Amino acid sequence: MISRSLAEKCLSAVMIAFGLVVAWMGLDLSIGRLARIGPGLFPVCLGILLIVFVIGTFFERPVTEEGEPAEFDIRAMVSVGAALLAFALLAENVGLIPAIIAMVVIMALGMGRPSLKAMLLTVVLLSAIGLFLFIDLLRLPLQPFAIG
Amino acid sequence: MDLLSNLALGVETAFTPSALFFCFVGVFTGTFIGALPGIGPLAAISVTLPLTFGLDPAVALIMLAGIFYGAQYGGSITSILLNLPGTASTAVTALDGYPMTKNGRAGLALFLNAATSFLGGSFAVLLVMAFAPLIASVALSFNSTEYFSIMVLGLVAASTLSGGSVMKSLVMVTFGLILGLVGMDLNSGAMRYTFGVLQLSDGVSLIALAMGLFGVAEIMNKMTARDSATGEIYSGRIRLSAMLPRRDELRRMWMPALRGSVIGSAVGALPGTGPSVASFMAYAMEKRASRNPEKFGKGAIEGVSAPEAANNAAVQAAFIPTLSLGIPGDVVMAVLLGAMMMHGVVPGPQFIANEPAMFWGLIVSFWIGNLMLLLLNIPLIGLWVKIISIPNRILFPTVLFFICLGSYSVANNVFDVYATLIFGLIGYVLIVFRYHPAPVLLGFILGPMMEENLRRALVISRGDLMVFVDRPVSLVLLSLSILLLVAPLLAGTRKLLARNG
Repeated sequence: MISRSLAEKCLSAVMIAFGLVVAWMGLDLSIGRLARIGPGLFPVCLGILLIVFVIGTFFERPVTEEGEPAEFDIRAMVSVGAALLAFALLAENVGLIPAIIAMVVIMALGMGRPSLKAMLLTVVLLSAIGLFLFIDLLRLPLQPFAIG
Repeated sequence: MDLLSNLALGVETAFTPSALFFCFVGVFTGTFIGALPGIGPLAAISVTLPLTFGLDPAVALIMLAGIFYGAQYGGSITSILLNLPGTASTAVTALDGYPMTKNGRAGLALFLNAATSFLGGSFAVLLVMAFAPLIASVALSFNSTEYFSIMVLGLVAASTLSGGSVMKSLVMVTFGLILGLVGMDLNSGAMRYTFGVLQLSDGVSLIALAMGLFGVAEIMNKMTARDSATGEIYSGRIRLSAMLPRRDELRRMWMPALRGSVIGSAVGALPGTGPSVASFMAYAMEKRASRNPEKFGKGAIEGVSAPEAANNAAVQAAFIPTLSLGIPGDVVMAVLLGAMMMHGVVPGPQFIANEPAMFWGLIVSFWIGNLMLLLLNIPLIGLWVKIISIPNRILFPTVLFFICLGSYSVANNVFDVYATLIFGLIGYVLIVFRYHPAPVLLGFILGPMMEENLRRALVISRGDLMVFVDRPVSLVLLSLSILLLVAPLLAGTRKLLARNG
């Protein structure tokens, strides 16, 4: 497990790199002149400002002490991310109901101690809302089950 | 007579069956969402926004606004009954509200919540009615120079006044400004930061950004906080007779509520601040002004009345800069601003003149909504208590479902769902490292407008940057921005020097 201060420094480095990329790509666009600014001026300025502000955070009093571990819950990130991904992959290709089932099951596994009763109840409730509200009423181009 | 005819127009708009129905839907949903500690009004508005696309813009705005101020009522219920604030702005209410519950006076605390929230909201609505048209008429004389400077002040104020790390907030604002650049530049036709992805040519989706940063990230964060629930579900019954205050208690309620309303309105009307700052300030000032400050934190009536009036007043007052200048008074206002634009309505000085029915309809709906909340909260308290015990294993998948379909429904494209996922991951990382994502939205909404106003100002001045200081209003606004930026830095430097002897 890495310390929080090291993790924060890594994040700051990523942000500085992001600012550099934004500014560098902005230079590829036309900067123009002050009387007629081009599409590249604002991005370049913002990229530089981002770098300045990120550096400014180094001079602020640190939020936590050195040595404390970062507080990520990888399980939460992975399960919520996987649930969303499953929904995105399945909703159009396989159908709304399978997408809901996959999402509910993944979330339940991620939250620990899954309850079959709670999962069934949630799937039925969300399927009903999905069918009546989103497909029938709002006319989303999704099928309950996409066959073929 | 002008005001009367405007109000008549507003009544005509707000008293249609659909407006009344969706006002009710908005305040009910807002109270429900506010009562649930898992998600906040921002996520609720982001999730319900796609559902409003088929509605008349005025009705859509009435509903979304109802969610916003309804959430303040709902958030206070869990603060008072469970010591578990439903929204950040109601955290202060728990300081005295929860002790009142422990002392067997939960009913009184809930009555104070409903009554003082109504008072605060009504006070601020009067100010919106008075000041929004006035500010709009003054702002008609503004040109791009002043607009650019107002936006700079709004973003700096959001970074410096909302508490927490100033530099981190500035980083977030700048990140939001950069995200606002993605897509086709309307002036030159150049594609910026699209990386050849067709779906990005119209820019990043506001819905995906808002739902990712505030919906998905919050779910990830709340799944982490395994010990956040107190494990204690309020099981007492609240009888109507127990809610009614004694005469001396009623007397002690009014002045703190009035003072809270004034503070809340003043803070809420400032761009960048919000109900959280307002409620904390009102509580602090009430405690300082009290002859018995030691009773605060132990169930003081004043400790509930003042912050409750303040947070509701702030929420309504935030509409003043949003509607009259097109500058969001709060991050939720930024989403509402985006929602209005998606419905083809552009808030700003021209808005009140061009869309009087929508503006005055919204004002009248505030009165209707606040009255509905006052009437709803008293008899429905038992229902809210049951609702707050919905287990997370049902709540979180439900919220995620609405997020997925809400994102998808914007353009009927799964790309937006993927975008929501990416922003959710980014938002979670930001939360863990204590970068508040709220300023990102402000920067995202204001970024394109800032660039456009900067461009126009420089075209008019033929490239002369001094135009921003030659015009007095712009000079004052930019000076205030610099002052807001420099003051915390100077204070920090002074502390550092003092510490190092």
